Amino acid sequence: MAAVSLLISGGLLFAGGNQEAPKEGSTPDKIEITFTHVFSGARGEVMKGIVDRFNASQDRIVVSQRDVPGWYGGLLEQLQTLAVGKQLPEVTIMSLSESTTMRSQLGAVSMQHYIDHDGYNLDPFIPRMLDLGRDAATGEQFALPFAVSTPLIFVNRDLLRAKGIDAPVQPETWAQIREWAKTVSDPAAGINGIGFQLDFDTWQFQILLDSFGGQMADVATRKVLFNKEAGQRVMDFWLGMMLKDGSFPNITGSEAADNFINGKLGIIVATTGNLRSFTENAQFDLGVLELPTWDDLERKNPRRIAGGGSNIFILPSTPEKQEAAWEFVKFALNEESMKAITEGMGYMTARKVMADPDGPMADYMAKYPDSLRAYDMIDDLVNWYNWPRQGARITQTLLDNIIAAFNEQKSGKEALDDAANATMQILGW
Amino acid sequence: MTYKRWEPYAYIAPVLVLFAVFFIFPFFYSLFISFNDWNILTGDKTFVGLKNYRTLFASKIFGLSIRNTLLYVFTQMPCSVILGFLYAVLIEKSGRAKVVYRLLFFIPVVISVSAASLSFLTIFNTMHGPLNAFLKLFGITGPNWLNSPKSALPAIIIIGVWQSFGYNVILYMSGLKQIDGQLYEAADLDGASALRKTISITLPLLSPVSFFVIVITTLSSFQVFATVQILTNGGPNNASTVWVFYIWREAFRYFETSTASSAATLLFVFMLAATFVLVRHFQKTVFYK
Repeated sequence: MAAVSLLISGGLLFAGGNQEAPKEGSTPDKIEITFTHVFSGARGEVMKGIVDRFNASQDRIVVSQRDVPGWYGGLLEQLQTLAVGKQLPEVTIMSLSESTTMRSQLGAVSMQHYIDHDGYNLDPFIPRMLDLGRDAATGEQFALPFAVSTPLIFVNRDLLRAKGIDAPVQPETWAQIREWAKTVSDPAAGINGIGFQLDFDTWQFQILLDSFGGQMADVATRKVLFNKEAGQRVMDFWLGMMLKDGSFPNITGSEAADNFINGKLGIIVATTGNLRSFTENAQFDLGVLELPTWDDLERKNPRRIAGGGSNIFILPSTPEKQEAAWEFVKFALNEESMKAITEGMGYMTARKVMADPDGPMADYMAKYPDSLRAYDMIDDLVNWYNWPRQGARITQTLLDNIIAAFNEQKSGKEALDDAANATMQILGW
Repeated sequence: MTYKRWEPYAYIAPVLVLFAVFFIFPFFYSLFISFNDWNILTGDKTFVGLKNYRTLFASKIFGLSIRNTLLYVFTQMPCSVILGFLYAVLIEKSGRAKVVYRLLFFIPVVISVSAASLSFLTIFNTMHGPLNAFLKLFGITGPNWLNSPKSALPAIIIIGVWQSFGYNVILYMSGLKQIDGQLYEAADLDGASALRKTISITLPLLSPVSFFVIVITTLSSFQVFATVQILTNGGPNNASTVWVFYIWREAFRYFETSTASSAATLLFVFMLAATFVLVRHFQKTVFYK
């Protein structure tokens, strides 16, 4: 009896281990690879559709797709864990802010070799978007742009019109935006002027910084520069609206988006990726505007817009699987896939023909004419700044200090100086 | 029936193996990592002695995480325990509605932390959340719950109490059932007031349950994490960064697994000390008969 019980206990302990481990690599005929991304729900279905179509288009490679929760931060966490267990996926997308991490820490394989070897034609791609995956120093195309975004200015035209503002498609200056926000703001009626989606990264800080003539840092001279004059101007701009005008409430980007959809916020500076959501849910006349052309009335600095969204990367694996990954990347960047991404998710995609109102996107653009707005700003696209190392910590440090200024724990100058000093320490500069 | 000497060990072996694999080994490995500089991606380890601990103690944000955690523990735990006791006493007196109340108060315990946190994102919405709308009825302007450093941690504490006190209600209710009714009858005969009966009969005889509830609630509140990650991400400006969130962020956002391991080791030591203090204190105050 005891022996039988022992046998059963032992069997239960080792039962899981008896299952055959999932086969790594290929069956004799097929190469199996994994594609990871961050999109769930309806947007996840777009990714699934691309993968399903690729698998159906040929019988040599089988791609399985996995959406990882937690957005790009969650994906980076997952990739790190998988790297430790030597189980990295073969293909992944990743935020443009993490390109350095992908290359230096996760060993992303440069696509230049495959582009050259295959004679892959990059002419159909928008050059500025290709720059988002290109090493500026060497010209090497280490990744390719997958789903790209810029911020747009979304306005509730009904609220603006009620205050006598007829917002043009392209406002002239950020000072003009500030005036609109101040005019629209009506706290007694529960209406706020403007919101920015800036509580989870420094994308919008960089866009304003660049547009005000500044830069984040200079690696060559090992100097942090975001706390200089241009950076101070960004803080003065935000703090002026928040603390003096009272038109910019201290709330999260998600709350701002909710309030905008509910007609309680006049203007929101948000990603292109919100276009479909706002278009379908707003119960008011929605206006979609480009970012202002100039920083201020003196027109010293033209706009510069850091590209957001993601590149697609090939991760290190066997040569056979990397080749298979490249085949999938090419499919994911063909016209049909890009059409699905734009229509299903609202992002911009990198082929020139996608921005042609008479091209494959004609029907979509006729239905959502504002989708062209982001493409109209392409010439001003610049790279999202990647810190040489410890990018996540530096971004959080800068964000913490900006939020501290919003909560009046520090002045704008103190916030940026503290962030700059901490950054210098983190980088060892 | 006779047993061979090895048989009991054979039956508990599976659990012991699992415990060793998922608790003992990771603990000692984490302790080992805390004295090394470990590149998780290349696997390179370099012995650095106490350097990681020195880095921790020099970090203002780590200090803040300890402070926030202690504030959380010493607010959430007493509220959860006291509310658990009070509601248990009230529900015991509610007759047939007892079953319904028990169910209602236990629902927050079984709701996943993620689902609850996402719901509270809406509830705590500054401009249009129901909580501030309710406060406005009484002429109170609700705070900027999740975006103000003054109210972010209190918001997390409120959720912590809401999710945990129902479990304490159930524990106290089962403890109250164990108390002999004749003691209360005797006290009534002596003319004891409700307060006197509570102080002299209920509380002492519930002391074993209180001991368990306080220790469990304290240890669990030291480990608060998911609510912080979902609602505030440790902000604004680290106002709600707690110890476990700090560990997670160091390890999984900043790739600093050595520092995270050091912080985790310190947390273990702290919790062990807290448990020791609680047990020593309660040994003197728990009445088992």
